[in-house]
Amino acid sequence: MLIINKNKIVLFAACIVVLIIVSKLFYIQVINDEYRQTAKRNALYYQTQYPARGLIYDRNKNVLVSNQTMYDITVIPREIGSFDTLELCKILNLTEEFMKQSLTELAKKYRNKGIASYQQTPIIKHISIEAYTKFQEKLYKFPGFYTRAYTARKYTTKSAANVLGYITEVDKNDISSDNYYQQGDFIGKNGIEARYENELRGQKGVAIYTRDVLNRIQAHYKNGAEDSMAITGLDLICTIDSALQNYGEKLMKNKSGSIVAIEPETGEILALISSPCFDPSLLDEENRVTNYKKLLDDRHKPLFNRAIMSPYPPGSIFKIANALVGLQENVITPDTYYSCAMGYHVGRGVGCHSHPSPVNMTHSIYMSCNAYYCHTFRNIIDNPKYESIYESFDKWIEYCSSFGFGQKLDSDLYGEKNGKMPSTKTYDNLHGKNRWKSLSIISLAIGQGEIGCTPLQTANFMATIANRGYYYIPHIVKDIEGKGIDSKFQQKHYTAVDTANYKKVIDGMYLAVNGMGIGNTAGRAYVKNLDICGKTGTAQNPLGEDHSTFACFAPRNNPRIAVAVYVENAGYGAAWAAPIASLIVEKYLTGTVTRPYEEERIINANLLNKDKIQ
Amino acid sequence: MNRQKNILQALDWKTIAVYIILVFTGWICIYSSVYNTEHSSIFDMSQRYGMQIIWIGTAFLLAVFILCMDVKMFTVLSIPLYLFTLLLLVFVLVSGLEINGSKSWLAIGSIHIQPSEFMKIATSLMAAYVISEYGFKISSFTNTLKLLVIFAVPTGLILMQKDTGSALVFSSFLIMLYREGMSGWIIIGIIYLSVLFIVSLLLPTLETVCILTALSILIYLVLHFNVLWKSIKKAFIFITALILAIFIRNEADIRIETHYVILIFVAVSLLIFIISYKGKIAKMLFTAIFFFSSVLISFSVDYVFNNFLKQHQKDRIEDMLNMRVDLQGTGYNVNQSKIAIGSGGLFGQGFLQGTQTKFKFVPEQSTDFIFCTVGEETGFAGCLILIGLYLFLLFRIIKIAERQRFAFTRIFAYCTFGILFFHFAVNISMTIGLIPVIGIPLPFLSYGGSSLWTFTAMLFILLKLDTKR
Repeated sequence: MLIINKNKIVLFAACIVVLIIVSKLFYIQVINDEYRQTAKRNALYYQTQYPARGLIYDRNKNVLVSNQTMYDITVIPREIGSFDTLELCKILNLTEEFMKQSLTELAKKYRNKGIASYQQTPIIKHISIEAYTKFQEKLYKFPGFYTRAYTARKYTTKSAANVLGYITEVDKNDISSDNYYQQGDFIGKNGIEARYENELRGQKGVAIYTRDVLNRIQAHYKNGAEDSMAITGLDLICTIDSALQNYGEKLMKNKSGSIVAIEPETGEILALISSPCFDPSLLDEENRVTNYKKLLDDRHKPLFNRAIMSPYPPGSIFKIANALVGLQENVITPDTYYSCAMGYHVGRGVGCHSHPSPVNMTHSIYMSCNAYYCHTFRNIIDNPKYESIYESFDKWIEYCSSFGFGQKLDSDLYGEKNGKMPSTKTYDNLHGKNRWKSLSIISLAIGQGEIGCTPLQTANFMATIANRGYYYIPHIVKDIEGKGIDSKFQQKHYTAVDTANYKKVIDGMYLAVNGMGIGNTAGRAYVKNLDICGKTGTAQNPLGEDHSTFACFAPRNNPRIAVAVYVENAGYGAAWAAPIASLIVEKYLTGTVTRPYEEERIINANLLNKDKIQ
Repeated sequence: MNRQKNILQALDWKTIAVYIILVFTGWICIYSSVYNTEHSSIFDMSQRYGMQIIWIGTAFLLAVFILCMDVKMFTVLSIPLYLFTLLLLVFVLVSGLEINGSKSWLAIGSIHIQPSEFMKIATSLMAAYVISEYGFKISSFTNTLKLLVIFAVPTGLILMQKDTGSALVFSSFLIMLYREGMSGWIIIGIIYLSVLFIVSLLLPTLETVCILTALSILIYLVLHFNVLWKSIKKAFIFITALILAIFIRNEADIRIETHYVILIFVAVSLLIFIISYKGKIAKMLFTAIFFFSSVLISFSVDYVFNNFLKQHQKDRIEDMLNMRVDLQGTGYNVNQSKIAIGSGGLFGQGFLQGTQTKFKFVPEQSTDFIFCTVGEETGFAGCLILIGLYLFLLFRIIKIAERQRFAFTRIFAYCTFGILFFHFAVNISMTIGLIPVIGIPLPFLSYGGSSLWTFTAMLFILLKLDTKR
């Protein structure tokens, strides 16, 4: 038998034990990283520093949207220990039932995996600052409970709700699409808040504290060396003139429709109204939950931003476009006369109202003659220069597109829509290939049929005419805290029509408002010395009474404002839209109103509920 | 004068150096683990680190006192000291102080002492005295009985104080007994029984029986080395069948009733009988006894576990075996301790930078869990150095033991080795979750006077004895 000294065996055994201990130590200290992570979660408390969101000013530096501090009580579900519910109620001045309900709701959400166990989740919102400070002192008695102070929006303005948008807490989609966001953060929804989210939100910071086993904050971790400061969001100056916006909303009270006003020489949107309007405070942090559904369910759809989404038929306003195309294509001249006997009686025919006949181009606009534009349109489409209607119609579309119709203008308005513009395909589908002619699509001559323009597009068209042939992309933000804005808003967009031709149609538009005698279609828009040039429209509406529309710019020389007004189901353009537009122009240019009776009549009119679906 | 010089020359200074390093390391670790900015001075007497320097100072005085004593005193005092400490233990049982569920403390003024600590020295001296007597043979029945009484009485008393940890320390005397002639099979047997205990708890009955069967066959084959090749075929078929049975059971999730298990026993016994018939009866009998006793023990483990162990002991065992996850309850300590040590990484968080120990995530961070501070603040590298120091000390003690002319010193050295090793290995193993939490301190490092004095006294008695080698 092999003889080994027993002392050697003892030492050998001891070494084996030590080896086992060292291997385990090596495993938990060097190989496995999990313990280090847990240690950090154990002892470090990451307190997010929320930046103040950027403020929003109007063009005259009036504050529209500012911030206010709100206080919430949050929990991290897995850290919740036992606590005294009664004491919590007492500190927060809440009833026990409410507290219990909040806790059950949280538990339910947690079970349904609505919230993660490690996430700070608000449980009681909007507590007073007194309750907040009181609770802060007693925090150690409530393991897993935290407080959260954050800035919510405060609206100084009562208008422009759809322009400004609102902010809400992020949802799952927001969090998954941008890892900047964490549960409980806010994100802009709709309007400027959404479009300029990245500028407005600033940059969150973090303060790292060490905490002991009882959750008491001990000290600043590494003396704040790994902290990051919250960076305040950038302030925005928007192009809105809040006085004009307020006035427009006042005029549109009890009416459904839209007003868009643009400064032609810059493309800045002075007012953008979608009626019915609502107070933006309805969607602030405190009221949003109760009001959002109400607004969503309202049959007049206040959340639907008509100004940039609704493709209204442009009606007679579109005659100007056709006149411009006709002039550019040399199928009419200012001296081309067409006679009109209460309409254009070829094919199905298009009716017209009674006015002197025949009319030249200028007067056709002045009196809004339908027949004249049927001729013009057919001249454009049946132009022998083009081999087929497909070619000529595409050319016509090209002109319309250059005016900005049928496509997004690429503005910085959130949720801007294309409007509606037909294509050859539209009619192929409708009538069959090669089975349609200029007469089949004659409605387009007077802005009816398969065409739809958003009020923004119409206003932009007016700005284009005001500029005699070019436009700047309409935009809602003028300056981002000294950083300026996207350079695309400073580029002129020329249309396919020459400047000279614009001057010719402007004569007609001037007469339409300022012309004396029979047939001045927009006499109600006349304001002395303002030289408003405009065009009425009465957009036929298959769903109810016609939409009253009017578009204009003023003054004739060096125009400062271009306006488009739509009043749904209000009948003739001259009756409502024209005076509204002229009031807007007058208010903006002079700051006063010379026709208080007109103003009063409009403000008091209730034109809601005149559509067929009731 | 000459005698004094001799002592200083004969002293094992290397051991003393390691001892001093360990003691001061402990002091710094205690400072770091309970450090707070309000009491930042390491000499602040209102804090544990301030108190520890007092314990260290008195321990040094004690060391000097021991070195000045006459060597003969240790042999002479063995019996009275042993009896006196026993008396103290009884006294503690009657009117001791209960801290953390253990009634093992004596209050003298504001100072709490733990007589069970001193019992370790007294028992060691007593054992050394008895075994080193002329004519003592460990194999003799009366001698064995004598030793059994010497160890069992204090162990029993300490168990009655509900201080299981300290009681378990007395098992370290086995190392000394092994060195002094006890058969190694006893230790192997004890280890086998503990493994069997754990396996029985962890695995279902059928698996346990299968493992035992395989083990029995293995033992039988080892005993029958010459018939190995003949039997291997049969064994192979049987093992295949067994594996198949386990596989089918697991896959099909069939619950096999106890009588099937018994059926398997009978089959296995028959098989073993048939195989072993050609061999010698004794070997066959040994294998059969091994198998049946193992099965019996395994079956009774559940019964013992459920009926004899205290709830907190059961909890600790269950936590260690990962039988359940209860990180908020009893598993909390070990989990936090592992987190603290694990967070140290390779080089640690740096002195006073450990967040886990400082902010009290780790319980008992200055006493039983002092190793967490080392692990967290100095990392794997620091742990290696510390473990290296202990290992050096242990090797040194064995070296001292083996160079003695007198059996008394050697026996006492092995007792010291055993107790130190047990404390060191068990304490560190429990902080890293290798074994259940057993509340015993880390020698020289943990906060507390009783344990520091005990280890100091043991070490310096040994060093003093060593001067007479």
